[in-house]
Amino acid sequence: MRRTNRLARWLALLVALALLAAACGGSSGDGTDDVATGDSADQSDSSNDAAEADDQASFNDLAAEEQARTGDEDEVLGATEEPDAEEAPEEESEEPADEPDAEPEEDAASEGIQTGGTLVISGPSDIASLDPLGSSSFNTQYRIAPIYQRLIGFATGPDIGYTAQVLKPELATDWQISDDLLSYTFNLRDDVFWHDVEPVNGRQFTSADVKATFDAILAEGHQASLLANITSVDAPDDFTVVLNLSGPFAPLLNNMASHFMWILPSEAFEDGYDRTNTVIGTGPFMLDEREVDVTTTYARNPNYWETDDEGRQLPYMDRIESLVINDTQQVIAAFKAGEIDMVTNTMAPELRDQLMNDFPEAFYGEWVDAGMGQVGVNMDRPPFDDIRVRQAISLAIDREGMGLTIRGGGTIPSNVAPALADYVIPLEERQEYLQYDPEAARALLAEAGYPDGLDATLIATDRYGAAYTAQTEWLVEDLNNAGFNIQLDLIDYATYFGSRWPDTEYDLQFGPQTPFLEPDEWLRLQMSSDGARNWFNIDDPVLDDLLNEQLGIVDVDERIAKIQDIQRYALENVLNPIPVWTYFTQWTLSPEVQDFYRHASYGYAGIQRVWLDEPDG
Amino acid sequence: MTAEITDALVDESNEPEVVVDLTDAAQEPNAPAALGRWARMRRGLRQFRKEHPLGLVAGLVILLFIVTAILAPIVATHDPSATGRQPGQKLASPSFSNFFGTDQLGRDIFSRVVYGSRISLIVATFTVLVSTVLGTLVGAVSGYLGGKVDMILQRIVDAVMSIPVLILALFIVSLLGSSVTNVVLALSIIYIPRFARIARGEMLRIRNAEYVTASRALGAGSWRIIRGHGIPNLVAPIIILASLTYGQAMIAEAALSFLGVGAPITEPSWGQMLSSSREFMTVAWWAVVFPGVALSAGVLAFNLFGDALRDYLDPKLVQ
Repeated sequence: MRRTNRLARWLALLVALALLAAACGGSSGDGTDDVATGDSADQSDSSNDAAEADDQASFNDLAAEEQARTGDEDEVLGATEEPDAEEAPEEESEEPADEPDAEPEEDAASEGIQTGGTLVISGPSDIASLDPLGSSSFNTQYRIAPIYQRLIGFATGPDIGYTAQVLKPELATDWQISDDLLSYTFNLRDDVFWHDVEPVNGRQFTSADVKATFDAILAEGHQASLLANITSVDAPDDFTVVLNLSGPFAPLLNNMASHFMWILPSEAFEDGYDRTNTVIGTGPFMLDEREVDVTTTYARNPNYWETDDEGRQLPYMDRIESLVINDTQQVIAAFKAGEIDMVTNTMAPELRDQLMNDFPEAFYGEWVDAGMGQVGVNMDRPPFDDIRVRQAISLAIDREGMGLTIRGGGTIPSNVAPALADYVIPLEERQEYLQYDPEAARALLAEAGYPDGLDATLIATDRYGAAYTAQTEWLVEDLNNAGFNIQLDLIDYATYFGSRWPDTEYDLQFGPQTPFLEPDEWLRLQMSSDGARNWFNIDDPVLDDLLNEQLGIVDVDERIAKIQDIQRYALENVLNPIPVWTYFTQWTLSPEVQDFYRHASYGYAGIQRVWLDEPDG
Repeated sequence: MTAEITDALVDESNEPEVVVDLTDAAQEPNAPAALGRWARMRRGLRQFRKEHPLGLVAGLVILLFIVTAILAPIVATHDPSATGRQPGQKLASPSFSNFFGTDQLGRDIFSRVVYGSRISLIVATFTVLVSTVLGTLVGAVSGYLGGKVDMILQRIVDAVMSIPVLILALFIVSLLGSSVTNVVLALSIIYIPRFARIARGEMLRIRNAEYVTASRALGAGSWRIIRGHGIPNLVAPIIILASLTYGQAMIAEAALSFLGVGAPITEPSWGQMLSSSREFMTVAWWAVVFPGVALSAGVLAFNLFGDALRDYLDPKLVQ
């Protein structure tokens, strides 16, 4: 018995050694290449000059990169890497006569759009609640997006940018705004029917549903501030809705298209049914089956109201399957095996490069993310009410080192996301306001009365994926290097987003903010003293006045100037939440997915027009 | 107390000579030879080396780990949490400046592995210490007293042992929050029953031994018998179990850190290194292999050492 045991142990040891040897042998080429890099890059702390030079170089790269990705969005959207897969079929189908000599392969595509098939999507996480009023989580919004619709949506297409706010009628056909800007009238479609699900049973969509939804949002929705200044909602007839305002509210139309503005049937309110797990909409797909944290499947809505330009019934696809896979290696393996068509997981740059190498025919989309990572500071807890302490935090963060190392790219945000390219202050200004200077940070801390360091607890969650956790580790290291003594409290998502952050039970907080699509959301929601997402205890009367002033400015250029001034004021005088980094978001599509154009808003805008090449293949 | 002694004397009074003989016999295992303590230890070590060379190697590896952990600041070549801020420092392969390469934040893996041994050894040491002491006590008391106490204690032990180790550890740590102390606490709760089981079995055997009966006849109380006869006889099996549990505790700590509920992520630990680098396995094998090898080597060393120790302390098993 004992001998057998020993033999087995020796064998195990041998196998382990063999594995190790195999692993070393496999990458020996890389190993030698990188040795040189390792030697030249001096890791000691003494090479500050070199580091500064590098910083400068990467700052310039950063600016160029950002311009490439936000400035010319057509290029990005039309597939920087693989333009053919996305654009060719569309062009062919629109103008088949102009291209008689098209190659046979493209000819096949020009035969037209194919219907049927299942689109399989992977994402990193899920959430229990599907209630659009109860949960602002991106997981909720993505899960319900194929089912619900809004009055107005964002248009998508080959010529429309990822963050462009091109409004397009959805459940409303058109709208009028009164001259005094105090009344918005929406005319609704009269050919829309709800999904044939109990208790709504496929009845017609009317203005009563819109009124019920807006009333409920104003009464209990987390998105109530998107309907600020609205005093009442009227439904004069079955297909007309009138919003009455107490004062002008410039962002209102954009807000109507927000991913939080889904219209629900009137039965959904007053305890008609449980909105957290019953989802009845007017959209192209109906909820079929759902197992939280595993999969959500959707079936084609046979009574969908929309047809394409040639009169064909939409949607083209039969089913959508949304899988939860958190493990990047598993996602990559499944994608390469053709089991996933659309990867919404963000991959580390090295892994993405490897995948692009292994699977070049796929579409690798990359866009400046519509959100940002930010450090929230609880201003109710001294000494964090001292601007010098907040400035010290900001100066301590090596944003570029963090972003380029962990994300492989991105940009420095302002208090408005860089994706809102018109509204955000220019990159040079952002760099100026948000510098990296740990020595200056130490000096400021000393000036604020903490020459020997300042203890603080930082809350974060690991729910946002490995890269965010790595960013958190980096942040803590940066703060500790600049005289802070940070205790990291890595908590579960429910505690983080459900209580500790909103109830301001923290010193410092780090994580991504919702990708708001309106500068008003970024600024007023977070920073006004009564803002719904002011989870930082910010109370600055000057800022409050500025934020209220911009609400009434309808002239676009004038409003842009005002929004930029607000950012300057906030970064100088409030500096909370402290903007950290905006990365490039990535979606990866298999070559079969056709006519999908991603938009920054949560969901899959234009999913009804997406089709699969060889849906049965 | 007096009544108890009298009872015992009355019970055993018909065999007084035997009592004296057996009491001497009970002393025997504790006084094997007239040699000095050091001389005995040297002789034992020589014998161990001769009979169990593999065990000796394992012992040296363990020693190496302990020395590394204690002298971590001297052994490590870099600050284990210093991030690499320059291009090319991220996921750099092993080189002269970074023996084990760097991880996804450009941190030196060698230094992290060195510091990681601290958490691994601290958690394993305290877990084994706490569960050995408490487990042995519970088992000894349970075995000696028998009856209802034994029944109740053993059912509790059954209940704890029926839950899979990791699930129970996850549950306890999630309840208490993740920290090194709580990991030790959770693992101790899990490992106490196995020590209690072994201790109880031995105690049942010892309880009915004639020298214990004799001792009782001489008026020794329960506690004195457990302490004087029970525990010394338990030492060998408990030491063997402890050395085997040590390796398992290291794996359990790594597993908890891998799952994100072990040591805080700001402290380098092998399990957490494996977890965060797993994603990069296909592009940077070194980020996973080195912490993995350190963990495997540590666990293997403790297991081999435990085996050798068992054979050495309990030669009956060899046959």
